[in-house]
Amino acid sequence: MTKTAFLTDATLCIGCKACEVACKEWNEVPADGMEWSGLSYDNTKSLGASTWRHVLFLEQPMVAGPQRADTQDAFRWVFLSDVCKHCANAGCLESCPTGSICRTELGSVFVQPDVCNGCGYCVVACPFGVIDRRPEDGRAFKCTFCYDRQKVGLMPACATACPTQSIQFGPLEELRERAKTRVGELQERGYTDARIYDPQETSVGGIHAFFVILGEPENYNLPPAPEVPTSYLASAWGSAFAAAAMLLMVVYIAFSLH
Amino acid sequence: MNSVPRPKVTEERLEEIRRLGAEQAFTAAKTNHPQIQQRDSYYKLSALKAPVWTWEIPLYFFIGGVAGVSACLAFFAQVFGSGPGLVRLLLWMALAGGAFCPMLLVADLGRPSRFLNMLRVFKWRSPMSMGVWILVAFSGCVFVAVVSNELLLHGVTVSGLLALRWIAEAASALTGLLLASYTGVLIGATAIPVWSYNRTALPAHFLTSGLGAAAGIAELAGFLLPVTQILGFASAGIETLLGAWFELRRTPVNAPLHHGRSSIMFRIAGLLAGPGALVVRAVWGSAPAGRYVAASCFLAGALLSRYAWIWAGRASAKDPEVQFAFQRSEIEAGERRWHVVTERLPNRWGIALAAVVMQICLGAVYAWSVFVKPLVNTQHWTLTQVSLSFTINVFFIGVGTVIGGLWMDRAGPRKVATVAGIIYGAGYILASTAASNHSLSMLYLSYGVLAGTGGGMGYICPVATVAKWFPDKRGVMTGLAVTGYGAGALLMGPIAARTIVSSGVATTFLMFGIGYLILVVLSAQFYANPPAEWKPAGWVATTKVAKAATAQTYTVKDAMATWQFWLLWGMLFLNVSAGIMIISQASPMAQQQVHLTAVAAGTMVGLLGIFNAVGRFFWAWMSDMIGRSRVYLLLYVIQAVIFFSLPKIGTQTVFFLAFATIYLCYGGGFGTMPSFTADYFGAKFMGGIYGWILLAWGVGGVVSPLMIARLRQITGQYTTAVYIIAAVMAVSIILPLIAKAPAKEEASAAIRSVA
Repeated sequence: MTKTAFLTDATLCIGCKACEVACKEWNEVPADGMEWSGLSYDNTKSLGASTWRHVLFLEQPMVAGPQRADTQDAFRWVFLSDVCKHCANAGCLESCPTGSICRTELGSVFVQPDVCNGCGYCVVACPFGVIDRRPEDGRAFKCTFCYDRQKVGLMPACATACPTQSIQFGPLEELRERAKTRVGELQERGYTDARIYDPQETSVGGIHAFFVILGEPENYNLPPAPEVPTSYLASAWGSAFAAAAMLLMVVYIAFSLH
Repeated sequence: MNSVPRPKVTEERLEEIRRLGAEQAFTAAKTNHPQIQQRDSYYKLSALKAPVWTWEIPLYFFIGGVAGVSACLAFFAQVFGSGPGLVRLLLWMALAGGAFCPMLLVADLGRPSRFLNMLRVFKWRSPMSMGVWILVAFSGCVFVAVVSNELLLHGVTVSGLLALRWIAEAASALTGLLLASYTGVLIGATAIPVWSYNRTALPAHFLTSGLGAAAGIAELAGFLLPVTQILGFASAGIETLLGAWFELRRTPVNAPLHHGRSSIMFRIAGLLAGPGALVVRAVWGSAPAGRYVAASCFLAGALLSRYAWIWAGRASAKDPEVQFAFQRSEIEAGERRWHVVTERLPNRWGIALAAVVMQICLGAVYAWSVFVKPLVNTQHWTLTQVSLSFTINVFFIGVGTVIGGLWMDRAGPRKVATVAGIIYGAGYILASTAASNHSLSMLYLSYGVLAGTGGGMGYICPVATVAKWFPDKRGVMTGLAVTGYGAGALLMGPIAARTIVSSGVATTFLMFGIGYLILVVLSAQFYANPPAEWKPAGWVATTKVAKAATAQTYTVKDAMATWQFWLLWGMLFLNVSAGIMIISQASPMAQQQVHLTAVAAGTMVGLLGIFNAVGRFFWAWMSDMIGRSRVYLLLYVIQAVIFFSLPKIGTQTVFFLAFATIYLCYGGGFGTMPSFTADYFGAKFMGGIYGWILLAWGVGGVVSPLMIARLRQITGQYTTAVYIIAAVMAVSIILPLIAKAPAKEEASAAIRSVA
């Protein structure tokens, strides 16, 4: 099957949070508390076990760039709907000891809720801080890429609900092309800091939910160079074996002196 | 006084306020209403999820570490005969830990009823999955070890029970080491910056904690032996060094170890297990009370430190700025691990490490002398009959290198090395049956043919693979792999000697066979050929030696058609034969010429083995700088000079030095030849080509002892024989002088025929 993807465009988002609501409704995701953050209009703060779409509200001073390319506003307001990145090399999937997290035929990363036993290792293995364990349930949850909807030919709930086509859904390669064209357009119109966020050159190897953003990825809490933790395995195991060999030597010498 | 302010001043003041307002409005806005600029994170909100693990997991890290190292210590206590009491305590500690650990793990699960789901899959790439399987294997092995040990202690005599206990204890020790160290990998291979940043130190840190804690519990249980004292000192010493390393590495990523709540815990833990335990032990260690205090200090520190690491991880996950800044610095330093992910390359240093481990196991065939006497004594075979199995072994090493080399060019090093490990291990295991069934022909077949062939097939794999991965350091790295081979007998000989005394020849063969099988097959899994045209990142061949290293590619057939191939063959043959001929006479010469006793001469020969290993590395390293043929020239010149003067040496010191140099040169021949071959014929078909060249070793190993015996028979004494060898060496100097890499025309013809 063709691989599908999300293209989420910060320059089109109006911060209505329809995606957050649609996601919760369709996937029957429970409430995750009510808390005033004091940060712009964002009281969700981050993705989590019960937040699979999260709209960021960036309030920026003028130095970051104008609100509109042809004005000199002293203030810029940017919104972006964040989501699980469905990495090409997914840390959560690699680390899962039960095989609960798997790759679907659509290229997305899916947690099988009937297999997950809540060991919590995927939580620290995700370089984007997406997946989390739901305390009252004990299992790990994250965006399913609306696998059930896609299987019957529907678009994911968030993309369907988005009123401005900020969340676009489609074949991976086609959307990658569309993102490039879009950034070209934005640059031409004066948004010189428009860029694609899709870390293809790190060990993550690209993501299936990429973004068009203004400014630096850090501003959106998107890591500038995320690495899949399996890239640390060789050095960590190598050191474990070397240390074990050293320990054998120490013990051998200790018993020889005995 | 005029109370009205001067207009000019007011105007200036107003301007000042306006200016300040413009400047500070931004600051004020930031405090009341945060704004995101430049490379700020999103309102400093955490960009990673903090570990969800509760108190059970750090406790599991601690208990697993203690249990794992206990099993390892139990095995050593058994081998060294430290008494059934200590072995018993350590085994029971391991079993108790092995039983308690799963409970802790299950308790931490979000869905404890589904704990068996862990056993659905076996995933190399998930440390959590590996850890669960390690724990399962460990608990099983320790259970068998405890039961068989208890049965033996209670006087039950069932045939095979002793062997079962040895196998179970050895397996518990190996899996125990994994259990105690994998937890460092588990948290090291995560997205949490402070953990992954310290991933190379963590396994060593956790293993050391396990070691000191296991020894400490033994002390608290009343085993105030010298060995627990030494282990206590060693572990507190290493912990002190590691603590200093963590403390002095003051980078932003390490902030959770230096600031905040987690740092307080971390420092207290480090002080208790490191300097605290060390000082108490050094000052009051002679009194039992002092040792109890030191052991308790270490235990408390080791336990606390596991909690401190989890807390440090939580703090680290909450700091996006440090995380992002670190990633930026990696981008800027160009230290990204994989640039193109589709080509997932293995770490070539891992391959080098696996090569050394494998060569140590294979080189252990040279510890044969340890087995000779016990075999003669227990089996009623003659010395000549027993010795013949070693000659058969050496010959089949030569055969094995040819088979293994040709095969690995087609099937890749991993498959060949795996099969080699199985054959080599099986050779030892069957030799055990041969010893217990008193079958000499079986010994020839097992130790001679099987272990020889397996050893030869195995030998070629790491050498050829390392030559391909290190075109920039070809000499020194292949030299290192070959040094492992030379060091094998040095390391394994003494261990084998002790196990033979404590449990007999047959059991020793069996134990070592299983050990070698596991280690060789495991290290084989690290091997892979680099992609075609692969070069180390950013490396360009600049020196003459390096340029030679990349010039051409020959097939086995084309290489054998060049005269250079036979030149290299002859050069290795001459160096090996001359070396073996003189070395085999080292002990009798030492006794006759400088009047050493037989025992002293034996010890001397044992010590000289070190120079064999060192020479392999030293000359290979030299060859990277001065060129391969010049190294061979030096080897021949030095040996010719020493051989000529050898019969005149009268003092023991000079005699020892002379032989040390001969051993250096003997090893140097082996160390330099792999890179020599790769330089001349390219690394692509290195397996087959070098396999054939190594046949010179097998032939030399068989022919030269016969030749020296014959020479002695004809001439009646060593002196003349030694002079003849010296003369041959002197004439051989011509060979490295005429050595010249195959010409470019031949090379391009060779490449055409490949295509």
